[in-house]
Amino acid sequence: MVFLGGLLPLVVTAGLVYAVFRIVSANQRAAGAGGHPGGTDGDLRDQVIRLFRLGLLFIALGLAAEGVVGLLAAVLPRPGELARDPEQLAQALAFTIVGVPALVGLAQWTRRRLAADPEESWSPVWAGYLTLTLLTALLLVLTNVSLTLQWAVDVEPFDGEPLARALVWGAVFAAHWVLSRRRPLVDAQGAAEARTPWYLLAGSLVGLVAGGTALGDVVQVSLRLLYDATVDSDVLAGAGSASVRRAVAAAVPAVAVWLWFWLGHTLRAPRTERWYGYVLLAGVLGGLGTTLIAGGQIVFGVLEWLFGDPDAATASAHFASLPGPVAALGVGGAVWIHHRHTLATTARHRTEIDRIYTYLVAFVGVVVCTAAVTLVVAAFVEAVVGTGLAGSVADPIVLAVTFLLIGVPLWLVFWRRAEANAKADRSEVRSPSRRLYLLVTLGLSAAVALVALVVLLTGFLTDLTAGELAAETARRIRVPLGLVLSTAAVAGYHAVVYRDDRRSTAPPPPPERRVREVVLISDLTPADAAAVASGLGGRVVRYTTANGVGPRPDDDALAAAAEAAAALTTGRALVTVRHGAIEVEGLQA
Amino acid sequence: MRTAITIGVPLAVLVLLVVAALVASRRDPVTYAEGTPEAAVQDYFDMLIDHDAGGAYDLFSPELQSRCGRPSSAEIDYLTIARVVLQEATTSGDTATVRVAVTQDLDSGPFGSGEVTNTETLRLASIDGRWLIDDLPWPYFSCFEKGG
Repeated sequence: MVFLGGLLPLVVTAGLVYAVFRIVSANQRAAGAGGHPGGTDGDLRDQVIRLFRLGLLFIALGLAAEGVVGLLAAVLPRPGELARDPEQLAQALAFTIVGVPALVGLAQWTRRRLAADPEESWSPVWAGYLTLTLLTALLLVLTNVSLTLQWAVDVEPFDGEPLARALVWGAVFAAHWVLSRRRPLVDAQGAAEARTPWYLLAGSLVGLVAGGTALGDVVQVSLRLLYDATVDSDVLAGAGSASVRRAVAAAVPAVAVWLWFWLGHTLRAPRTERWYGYVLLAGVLGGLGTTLIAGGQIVFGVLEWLFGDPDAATASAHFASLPGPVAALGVGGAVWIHHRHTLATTARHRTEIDRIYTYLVAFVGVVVCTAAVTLVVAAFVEAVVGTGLAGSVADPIVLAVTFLLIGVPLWLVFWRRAEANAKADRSEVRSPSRRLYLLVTLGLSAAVALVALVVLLTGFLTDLTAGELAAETARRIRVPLGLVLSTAAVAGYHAVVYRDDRRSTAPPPPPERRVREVVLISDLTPADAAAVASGLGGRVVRYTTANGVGPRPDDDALAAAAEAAAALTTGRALVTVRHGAIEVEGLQA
Repeated sequence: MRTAITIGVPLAVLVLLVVAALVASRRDPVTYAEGTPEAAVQDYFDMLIDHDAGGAYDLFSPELQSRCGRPSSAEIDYLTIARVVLQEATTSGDTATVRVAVTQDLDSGPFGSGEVTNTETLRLASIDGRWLIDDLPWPYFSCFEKGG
């Protein structure tokens, strides 16, 4: 009886799903028979029903998959298990009992809709469902394959649950991959469209982030072992190769995901705007950012040891943290270079993508340079007024020099390249990439300068009004002061460049009118003659041969006459109008 | 060709690096003279790395063992110690203090965040010519109950 009572909520849920299914199916049949499938109301209703159905399908799929995972895990060994919680098995059974029939019913419904209505497979709701499910399955497979491989490389005991989860969600992934590949790529009108599907970009991003992180971990632990073996003799105890094996187990599935999505599919997909967006933002900017941060850490570590105030007493202890930044530098650099090369085209001229890359890197350089100048000013103030109660003046200077060493060469190389191109080809000056770079840099730096100025004045005036103006005031406002100076310099420089660009691309001024006097001889009425004369420019001397007997020339003829008069170089023009015809000739002054 | 180079070369370097690291990991660790505080701490961390809580407990002094019960190995299953570096060892009569940097691998999934290093201090006492841990050491924060 208790068992039946426990099943009651499941029966109610299943009944509800079935009732909704029947009602919506009946409505759709009615709409198909005599309704208005093409109407707006029908479209909206179809979208709502689709959203509801696919939302339910996603939930049912999750319930069914996790139910089956629980059942499989119940029969597979778990580590260190002395007894099993019966509630876990009951929950797995409940998930399966509710989830599997709901999944089958909703999947059948969806399959019928896909067969009956071509719009179903084009719809964004269907695309969203496929992408969401594919990504969910991908992340679960990735994590659980990695956990299972930990056992395979002998760093963790066997655990049946990750294996079960990897298998079940692997099947979900495979099914939804096939469905995604079958989905036609068409536009709103149903015509074939060259497009990079979102699921390929999202999968590539997951592979890039997971693979990059995991490979960085492999490099780091490997370098750490080599460092310990060659430099650091104070290692008391260590896990030996376990760290490397653990990192490799995490990296293998992550790299496989990246190779599958990026190298196998996305790289060959149509190079659309979103494709370039992914490569530039995730690949180039992500790789470059990682490289710069890691490079900065290495440079700072070296400079701190040479000129700063390091905490560690020995070089081996100070540089023991070096494998991390070196690993990030290697992986970030590889990601940057690889994605930069994928942007390369066979075009002989400089493309807009080349420009975007140049200005993107130049922008990163500007940001780092701005930070460098800010830190230089702050370090200078700190050196002059002292560091307060504790701290070293050497480390802020070392940090500022680090930013300078990273930022200045980066910005100089890419900005000089952009400037050289702008001088050689005026289309560079008019390019959207350059304009966007200038406007964003100008706008952002001006905004930051204003905010920093407010902070600076607030700090200064607070101490001034309290009668506490002292060296401590300067120390406290050193960073906003540095920001004001650096961002103002950046804004000023880019404002000048922007102004020069606008000047160099402005349309040429109209040619100076050289005809100073026009002699108009016509058969027009005085009013018509005055109107014709006003369009010719210069001083007009009018002579009328007959008292308003001729027709007025049409507008096209008048415009042609004005143009002809303007082109004369004689200083005087003779214009004759007779029977509506107009003639222009030069008169020697 | 470009794609093959920009992917193949880094992967080849990575494989070489991993192989070199695996070879380096076979190197015997530094051994400290028998009967020194450093050797006792080394034994203790070797036990923790092997998840042998009982063996580590045997390195506690009788006084500490009288206060704290023996933990099970399941209690330290979560530990993923990658390396322990000796920072400082000071001896004063029959007591000693050993400071070490313990590096642990963090979450080892594909989005794992690498490792974390903490400094830990162990206090030891020389009892019958043998250095034993005399104060509850890392990773324990409180004693297990006797007989529990």
